[in-house]
Amino acid sequence: MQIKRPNSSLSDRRLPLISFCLGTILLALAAERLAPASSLRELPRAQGASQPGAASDPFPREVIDGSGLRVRIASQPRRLVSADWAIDEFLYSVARPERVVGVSGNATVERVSNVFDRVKQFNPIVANDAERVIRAHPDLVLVSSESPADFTNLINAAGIATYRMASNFTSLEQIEEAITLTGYLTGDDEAAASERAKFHGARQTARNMRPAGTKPPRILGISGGFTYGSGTVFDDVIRSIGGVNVGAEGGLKGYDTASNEQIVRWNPEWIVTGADRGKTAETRQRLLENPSLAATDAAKNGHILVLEFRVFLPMSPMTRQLVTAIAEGVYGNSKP
Amino acid sequence: MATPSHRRIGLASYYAILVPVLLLAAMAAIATGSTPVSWPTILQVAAGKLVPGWVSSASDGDTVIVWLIRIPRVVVAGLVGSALAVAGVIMQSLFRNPLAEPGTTGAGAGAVVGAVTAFAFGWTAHSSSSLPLSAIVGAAFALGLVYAMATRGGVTPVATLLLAGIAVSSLLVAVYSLLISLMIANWQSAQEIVFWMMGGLEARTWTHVWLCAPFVIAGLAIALAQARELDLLQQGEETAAAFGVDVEPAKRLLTLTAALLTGASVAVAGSVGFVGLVVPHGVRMVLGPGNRALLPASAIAGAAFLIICDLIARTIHPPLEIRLGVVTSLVGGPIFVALLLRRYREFSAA
Repeated sequence: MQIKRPNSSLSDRRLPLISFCLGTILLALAAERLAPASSLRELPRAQGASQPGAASDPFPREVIDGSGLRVRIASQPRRLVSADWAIDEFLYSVARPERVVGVSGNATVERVSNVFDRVKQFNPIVANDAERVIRAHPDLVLVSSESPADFTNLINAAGIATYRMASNFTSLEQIEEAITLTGYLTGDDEAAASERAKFHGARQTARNMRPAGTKPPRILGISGGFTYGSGTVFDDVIRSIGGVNVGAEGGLKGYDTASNEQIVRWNPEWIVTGADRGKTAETRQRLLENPSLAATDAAKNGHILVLEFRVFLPMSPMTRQLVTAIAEGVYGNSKP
Repeated sequence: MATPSHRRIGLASYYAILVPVLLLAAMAAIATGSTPVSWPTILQVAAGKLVPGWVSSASDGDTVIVWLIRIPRVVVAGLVGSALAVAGVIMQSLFRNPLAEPGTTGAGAGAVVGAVTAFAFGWTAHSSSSLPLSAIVGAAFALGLVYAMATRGGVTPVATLLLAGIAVSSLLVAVYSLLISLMIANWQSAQEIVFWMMGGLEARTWTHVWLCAPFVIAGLAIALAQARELDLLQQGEETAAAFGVDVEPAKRLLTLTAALLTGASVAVAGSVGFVGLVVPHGVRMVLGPGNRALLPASAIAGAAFLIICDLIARTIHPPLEIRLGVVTSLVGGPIFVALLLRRYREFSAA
């Protein structure tokens, strides 16, 4: 039997497809528009930078968060929730631990968490689920710039203030500002000022550790197959201790990959990386098994600094540990 | 062709069992969560929202948890389960291949590309609807591409459509793999993507319900209206044409319907495997191959299956949720193997 084969032109044939694609988009947009009032909507956006006011400002305080939303905090929050690993460390740095009633999942992982002991002692909820967060009755929930809108919208719908904190820092100065901001949000301005001073002091101390008259050490940071270029906190750490970040010097921007050949050409004097707790020796050995890394001056001179992940990874007030550890590792071994 | 003689049990008995299962599963899913909520509170919230003039005594927190977290989640699970099961029925009948599944036309992979793009550009942090909308656009784009490749002279051979679907799916897998590898340095985004790709229904809201419901309802209605054509196409295109089916438009409509259902599902739930494969198989073994009975029966079975899988996902290892796609595969895989073995034994005995 002959199957019907219509002799349609090319445009005729594509018309239904184009119509379908457009129709699909229009239907979806219409459905979005038709969502009832009970469904969740984003708050109106406000323009402006996320700058805290003065420490003497009374509550209520109004701030613009990392996504431009205006957040009003009626009174000093008593119950705080963090939904991000870095924010856990900001909160515990400025607020009393019993006020932190929710933390990110990473805070409970001993090998990467700097706040594990406090989490174990005060037993906050793990804030990976909106229902659990609402039940913890927080006054303020801090989420990262990349937390899904679905989650924050649900928390907002329960009438809980949510502040989206920019957590993709690229400099130590930004971390210092975020310490002050955290204190402003939680009403712990004095504690934040003290923490910021401690952070800044660690930077100054590290900078002063470089022996006078020595060349800036050329340092390569690697982690998980990636290298730190310019515009990263690692880059700023290295510059702040008076060193040269080899990745940035080689033209890398951000957190990027560098080939083995590039690393050989760059020939760093120091290599800094991270490892799980108790696995630093194993990690150093694995690095040395890579012929490209083994060919560098860093490897030949034993200048491989392996730091625990909880020191190496944080972008929080705890980054001061990284500043100190690299400065001590590099300058403690240098021979002026 | 569908005849009652193919059925192991009657339609009435089937619905008498499955509808209560669906209702019980939905009620259990609403009653179960990461924090306790009593039944009177749930009823108060539901009455406050649904009964005009009823003043609920539930607290704001309870209202948000029941009305904005749990009920939409269960509704989305039901819609996605129905959609995937019906898409599976359509694809298996159309391709006359028991291993055809909803993603065969590339719509699933297209939806993933759309979603990964939304993650890559950071849209998901700003709007709840950016992810599903991007996924739906991706699915529509993929389907358009598959059809453009497979259609020549106004005719779209099923075999070519299948091959084009596989080719486009592979291409799109490469595209989203590239996108993920480019942004893997941002571990938080990469983690979000990987989690999304494993399927899940956490933080699903009424926005998601309203985003996918029109597609799912329209898809189910079209599929039901085309049940006769699907029955005949299952016998072969020539047979269908002999019985007066306008083959090409019917195939196009059914493929579009399956893609619509798949795209809408992936958009709100991520990649959830095995529902479109195992549910149609199971229901076909009980009710026979007639699509007029099979389509609505599979829709109900798919809804119940996914609601139960989601319930397992969020209760088996608290406080962590197991990804829904993992649970559907762990539950669906062995069921599928058991169904195949049973069919093989029956075939051998015959």
